[in-house]
Amino acid sequence: MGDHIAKGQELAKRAENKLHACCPLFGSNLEDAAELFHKSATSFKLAKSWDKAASLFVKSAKCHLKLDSKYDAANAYVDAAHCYKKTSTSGAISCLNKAVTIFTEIGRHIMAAKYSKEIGELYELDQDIEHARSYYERAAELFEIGDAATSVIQCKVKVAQFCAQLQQYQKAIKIYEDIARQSLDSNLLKYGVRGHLLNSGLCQLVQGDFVAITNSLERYQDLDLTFSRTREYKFLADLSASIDEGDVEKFTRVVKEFNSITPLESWKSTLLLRVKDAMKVKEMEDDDLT
Amino acid sequence: MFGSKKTPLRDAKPSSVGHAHNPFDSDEETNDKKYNSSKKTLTNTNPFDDEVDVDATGHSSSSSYGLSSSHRNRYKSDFRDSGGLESQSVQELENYAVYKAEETTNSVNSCLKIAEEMREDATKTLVMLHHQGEQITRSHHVAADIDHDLSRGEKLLGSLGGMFSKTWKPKKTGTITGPVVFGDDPVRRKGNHLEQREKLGLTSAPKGQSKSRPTLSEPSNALEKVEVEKGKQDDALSDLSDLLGELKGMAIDMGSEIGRQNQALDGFDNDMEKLTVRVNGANQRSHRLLGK
Repeated sequence: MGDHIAKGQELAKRAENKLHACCPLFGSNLEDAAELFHKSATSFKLAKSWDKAASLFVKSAKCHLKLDSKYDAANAYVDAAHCYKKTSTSGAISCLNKAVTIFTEIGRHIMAAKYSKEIGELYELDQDIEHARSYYERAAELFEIGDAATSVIQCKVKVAQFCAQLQQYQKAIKIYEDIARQSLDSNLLKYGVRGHLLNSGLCQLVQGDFVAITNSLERYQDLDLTFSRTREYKFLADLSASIDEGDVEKFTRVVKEFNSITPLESWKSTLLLRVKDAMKVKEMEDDDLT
Repeated sequence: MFGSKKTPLRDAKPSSVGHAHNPFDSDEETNDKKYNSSKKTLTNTNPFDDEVDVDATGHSSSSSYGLSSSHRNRYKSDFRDSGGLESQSVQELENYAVYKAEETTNSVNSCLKIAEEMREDATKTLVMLHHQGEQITRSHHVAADIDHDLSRGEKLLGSLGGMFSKTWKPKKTGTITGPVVFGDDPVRRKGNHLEQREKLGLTSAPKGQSKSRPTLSEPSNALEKVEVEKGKQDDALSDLSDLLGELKGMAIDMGSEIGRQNQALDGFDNDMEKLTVRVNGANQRSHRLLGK
């Protein structure tokens, strides 16, 4: 490990010398400097000196930018971000942002989308749902430009989930329904439709408008003719009925029965807890009135 | 049905609807901020997870009919230690029938749970296949772009060289076919067999009608309890049947998509071979020019 650091330091020194001895007429020294910075960063990476490696990758990226070699610069920023990931999330996000900007400029939309999604994942790990949502949204747009339908759907599903967590239910419902409609056109994606409609239905339930829930269930049946035969449909219909009756026990029983076969993800549990709490409050209000 | 042998699935966690401790009764939203992207569900934070107390015999103590563990042990051994089935009272046999019915219900539910998990995995696999298909098509488009650029490069290389040197012509390879866009299988397009049956009104559950039978009042005697369990089993088996039908459809779609992708990859491979020959030829020409 020590020899990696020594080698890295020596390469970094040579790179700095190349930079300072740069002749204004020729870019060859800049090219050499960029390459040496890259090699130096790789040595520090092998020594697990992540911050140092990342800063050298950034220097390499700056050299590439001066040479107007944008693709190489973007890749160097990505390498820097992957080193920063080990120590500083904010550093990683900053570098990935620069990479996304460059990839977008040079028309590499799928690469830009991929790294935009990666930024979203980092924010998600940091529990920053608002930022995560905006980056997933950006990734979806870029994937759409790059004509990668599956990736668009995957990103939109995450956006809808974050919208639901941020209590922007109407937006989440719209996204889920659009995805379901889109998926029905494909023999491979149509099997995921019931899941999207379930998520949309759960968002409808949280809003607590019984008429809207009933209308939605009818609309979902028209959208996907097989939906009325699924466990998801039965689950939504039973939940809807228990909300209409104000029966908290029935609501709990229905959820537990469904959960015993298909375990619910934590964000769905949170939504259902919100519904249950609202039902409890309503029940208490009714008791107070009587 | 409930006299069947014990399956390995018997001990799978049953749905504890009537369980005294209801984990869904928590008033705070504990998992509001604890969302973790790397896992589907957070450990111990799903308030709907059944926490069934399992006794020494491996059965949940939340059984609705309150059978003691000594009874259970006798039922497990099919009364071998207490004189066999013939020497049991009617009451004992009735309780035994209820026990067996419950056990069968749990087994069927476990099968249903496994089938649901399989369906979920199959759905993810299909999404991945779709993604893979897109990537193959995109890669093939890139190969077509390379072909276009290479043609221009070959023209330039041909015009370079000495004044009296013979004009260089690249090796003739067949033209590149480029990506073939496959539409969805016309027979299965926009709807499978189930949907067609639905349109014809041949399905068992009409639109908007849920399949499950209405909940009866609390059963009073053993026979009613067994009937209730049989009802639950019928519902679960009906769901299982639908699921298996769907899994079959998924398998067919997977097969046809993989076949399609194999075809696309064959075409891609042929085009790449032609491009490789041309790139090598262009490289040789460049080396020759640089060597002059």
